[in-house]
Formats: sequence, C-alpha cells, structure tokens
Amino acid sequence: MKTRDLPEPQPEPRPVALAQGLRRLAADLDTREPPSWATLDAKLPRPLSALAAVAVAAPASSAATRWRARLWPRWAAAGLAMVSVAAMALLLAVFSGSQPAASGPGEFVVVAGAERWLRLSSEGGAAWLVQTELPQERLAAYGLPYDPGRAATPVRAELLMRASGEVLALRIVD
Amino acid sequence: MSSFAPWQVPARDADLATLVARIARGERAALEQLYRREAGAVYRYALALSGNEAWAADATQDAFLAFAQHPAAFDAQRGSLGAYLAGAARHTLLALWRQARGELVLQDADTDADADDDAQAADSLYEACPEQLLVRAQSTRELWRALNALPFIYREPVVLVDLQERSYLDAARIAGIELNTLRTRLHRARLRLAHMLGAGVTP
Repeated sequence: MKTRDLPEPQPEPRPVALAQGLRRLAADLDTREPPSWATLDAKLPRPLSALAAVAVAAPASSAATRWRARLWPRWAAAGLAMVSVAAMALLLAVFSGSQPAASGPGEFVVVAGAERWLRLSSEGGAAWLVQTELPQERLAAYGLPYDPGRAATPVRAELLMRASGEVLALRIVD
Repeated sequence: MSSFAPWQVPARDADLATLVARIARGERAALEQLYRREAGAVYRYALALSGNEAWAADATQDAFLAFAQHPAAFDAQRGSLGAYLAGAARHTLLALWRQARGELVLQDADTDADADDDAQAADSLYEACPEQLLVRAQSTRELWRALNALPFIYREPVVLVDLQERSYLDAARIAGIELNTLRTRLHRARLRLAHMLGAGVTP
C-alpha cells in the first residue's frame, strides 16, 4: 500500500485546563431539574400544619440521626419498630391502584399512591411502624373516610412511615 | 437592639424571613414558593454527590419535608437556608448509602495511604489551581465518571465549590467540616481529578 493512501494520523487533542472540564460539568448539572412541586405536594398532609403531629422527638445521640429522631413523637417511641418496606409489601394485600376503600379494623391501607408504593416496595429500604392516636378528622388527610359526627374522637392507629415523615400505609387498631 | 427568633433572618433578607414565617404558620403556598426557589440547587447537589436520580429526588423532598415540619430549627445566624436544606438532603443521602452498602461512607480523616499518594502528586502540582492543571480533553460522561470515582470526602467539596460555586463558608457548613479542612480536601480532590484525567502543569 502506498504511503499516500494511509490516513493522516490525527494529532492528540490539546490538553485543557481542569477548570474547563469542571465548568462543563457545572453547565451539565445546571440542566437537571428537581422533582416537581406537585410531586412533593401530593405527599404533604392537608392542612400543612398536620405535619406537626409527627414533629419533635427524643433527643438523638449523634448529629447524623438527630434530624431523623426529631420526626418521631416521643410518646410513640415505645411503639416504634423498623421494618423493611419490602417486608411490609408482602404482608399487605396487593395494591391494585384503585382508591383506598374504607377497611375494617386491622387492615393496612396504602396511602402513598400506587406508583410510589410499588417503587418503594421494589427498592426495599427501611420504614417505621408508629403507634399513634389521631383525631378521626385526620383520616381525611390520608384520603380515608370518617364519621364527621365523631371528628374529634381519637382513634388508635399504626402508621407505616419513612424517616422523612411520609406516611406509606395506615391501619386503625381500634 | 432587637433579637431574632431562631427562624428569622437578618433584615437584609426580609423576603426570606417572611417566607419562613409563613411556612411556620402552615402556609402551603409559602412552602411552594420556597421549593421553587431552592429545590433546584438542593437536587443538583444531591445528584452530583450520589449520581443517583431517585436518591437525589428523595433527599430533596425529605429536606423540604423536614424543614416544613420544624422551621424553627433553621438558624439564619449559622448559614443560608439553601445551605441548611442541602445539609438536610446530605443526611438522607448518607442514610441511603449506609442502607445500601451497610458501611460508613465518610472518612473523617485521610489515611496514611492517602497522604502518601497526595504527597507524591503534590511535589509537582502543589498549589496548582484548576486553571493551571491540564488534563486530556474528555467527554462530559468521562468527566462525570472521574468525579464519581473520587471518594465521597473529596467529591463533595468539588461539587459544592467547583460545580455549584457555593461560598467556602456555606460549603463547609453543608459538609459539616472546618473551613481549613474543606480547603485541604478541595485541593486534594482537584489533584486527584487531574491525576485521573492525565495531568500536567502549565509553565
């Protein structure tokens, strides 16, 4: 083969400053958008002040857990248990995606939303079982029906919650 | 001289102070306003740090949920609200890492091996800044891969300072370390990146 038929060797690209590469990463990062407000809004109770029901807890032993500990009611500590979301999914009936219906005492109702529940179930991870008392009207925040005539009457419930305070499932104990 | 409640910010940031106060009163619209204002930076920090979109999304939303539950925990005297929210997201990320890997991610101090590696690199690249460190031209994907290959304690300063252009003070607060520690880790991170990407120093 004649040498003039050989392709010209490509010169090595000129080196660039690391700063240029970092700026390119920064520009790429700037194109990433966070989850929409609607996604977070769907997880928040109505009214927003209902979040206070799970605020502040026993003091934590380290800074790393302090933010998580403050989400749990102190009086619920005795009834606190950590389970894996996947294990809970096995115990609960398969969530068909339909709106949660009123269930009898003892049955967990998934309130996180079908897509959210299925994703968390497949990913695993930890959640907390919290024993609590709620005024019946609070059930409305989770999309569950209640007797308006007994709105202020407390009911004992178990909440399956993530560390962020997000309630995944709920059942009435009495 | 008036004193501020912990969640109040200096008068120069009255808009933010008003917003925080409204959130403390349970105003949903105020939380939405804050979310639209700050969620982008928090999410991008979490995403660049973890390389995991789902984790970054969870960490971002957890940060705002935690703030909405207890806005009084924010002290404007200790740093910006954006830094506070990023710090909260960081806690979620670390918890997710521990869960996934069953081990601690953070190393509070460099090991002797790290120190030796850095000493060799530092001989020729000491005090070199990113403008002086030369690397082979890389695709964006290759650059991300190199950044993700850094240990957490070195990746974080690069994300906070070089990618997000946060102040050194805010970056140190988010990372929960002293200012000098941040500077040291940032310097070492840049050296490691330059080493990985094929480095030299401009004359």
